[in-house]
Amino acid sequence: MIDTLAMANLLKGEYKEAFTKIDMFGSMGNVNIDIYEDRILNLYDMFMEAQEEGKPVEKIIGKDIEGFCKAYYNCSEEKKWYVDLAKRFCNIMTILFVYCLLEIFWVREDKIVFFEDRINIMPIVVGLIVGFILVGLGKLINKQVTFKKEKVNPAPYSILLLVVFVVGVIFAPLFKDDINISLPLGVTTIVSGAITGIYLLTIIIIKIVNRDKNKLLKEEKAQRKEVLDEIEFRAGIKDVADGMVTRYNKKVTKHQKKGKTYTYDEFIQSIRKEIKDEKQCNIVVGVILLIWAGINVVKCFFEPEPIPLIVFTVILIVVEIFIYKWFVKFNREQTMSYEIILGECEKRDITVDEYVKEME
Amino acid sequence: MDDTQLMKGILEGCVLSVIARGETYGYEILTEMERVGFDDLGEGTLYPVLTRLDKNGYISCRKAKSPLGPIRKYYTITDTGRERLDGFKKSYSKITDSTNKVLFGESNIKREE
Repeated sequence: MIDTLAMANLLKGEYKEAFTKIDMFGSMGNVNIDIYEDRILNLYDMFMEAQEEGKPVEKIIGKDIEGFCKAYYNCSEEKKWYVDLAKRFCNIMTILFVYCLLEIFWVREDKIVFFEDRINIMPIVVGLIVGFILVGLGKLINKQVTFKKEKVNPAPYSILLLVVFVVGVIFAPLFKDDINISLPLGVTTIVSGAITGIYLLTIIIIKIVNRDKNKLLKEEKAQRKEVLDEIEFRAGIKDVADGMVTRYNKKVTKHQKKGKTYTYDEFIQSIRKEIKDEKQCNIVVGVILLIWAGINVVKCFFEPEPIPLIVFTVILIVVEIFIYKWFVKFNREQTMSYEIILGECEKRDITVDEYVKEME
Repeated sequence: MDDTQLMKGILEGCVLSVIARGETYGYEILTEMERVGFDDLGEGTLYPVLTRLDKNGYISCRKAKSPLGPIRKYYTITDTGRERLDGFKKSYSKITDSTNKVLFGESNIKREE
């Protein structure tokens, strides 16, 4: 998924507002994801250039932004609706097949009678209902919010959709015993398995036939990732610079309340100290995670039935590795951003506040 | 009188003609079209035209990094596209000749009246 928020942050004024609305329409309007990503990247490039030339955004999208969105994302010429529908049906069959297998090999403790037993597919049906609700909500948001207000903030609506999704996923299985939508286990497993098999085989054959085209697509994706990472990084610098200004202002206010002064130079010194302390910080977090994992490893030797604890410890170590990697990466990016911002400010003899204002 | 249908008929040919001058991209096409007088042509109209031309094999498209960062699509006319453009120019000349005669030249009906 591309970070359109980072992209929007690098646009200004009417361009930023228009881009946010067009992005919201595409991401919430049930547009095919490949088409949405292709169109939004294309539009972003146009906006950047037009913005550089000082053209009004109307020259690119016209006066009717809603009409523009409907025309721009119109995919009827590119993808056949029945191909999309067939894909979705096959995806549902795959989920159903996996669900049946889990039911047979994991959930049922007592022996199953394959062609006599039944399976309750209530969680899958609820999943489909949640899917429809999300699509409907997205369309409603686009209709009532996206083009009605001058400025829109997509964050609360994205959170709303995420909450609906999570609630649906978490609470659906809780009612599994109360609501019974059952199908014959054997027939359902065989039919869904057959459709899944044909679907996977079709995908494999298409991949083999199109391997040259796929190689080109892979290179394009890698190129796109490089560009998007750069955009994300530039937007990240802007966020860090904003954060620095906010921190500085808060520290000044805090010191003023105590009757003290806090200078800009003192603030810069504190940031430089944070940059120096990055490595020490990584070591401290690493040691804490190591101690936690170490305690569990030692416990394994003294546990009468160590297998569950061993499994838990292995999972813990894997999770810790991910957490540590993420923490080091986040710290590094933060430090790099500080170095770039302070470097630029020193070179041009401006304050961080002036640097942020230039970016807006 | 609504000129949308009139625009629809000539837009593909005009866009193809711009692309025929040399490899170009969306914003450049839009700027050129605006320069010659198509003020109200926006990306919402242009993009579907480019998609159709690409799908019909009249233009080819390559993606590359743009100077401003994002990926940009560059379009080039194909041999099929050149044939199509020649055909369009012939049809357009014939139609405009006849239309100009009716609209601005002497008409038989007016003489009889």
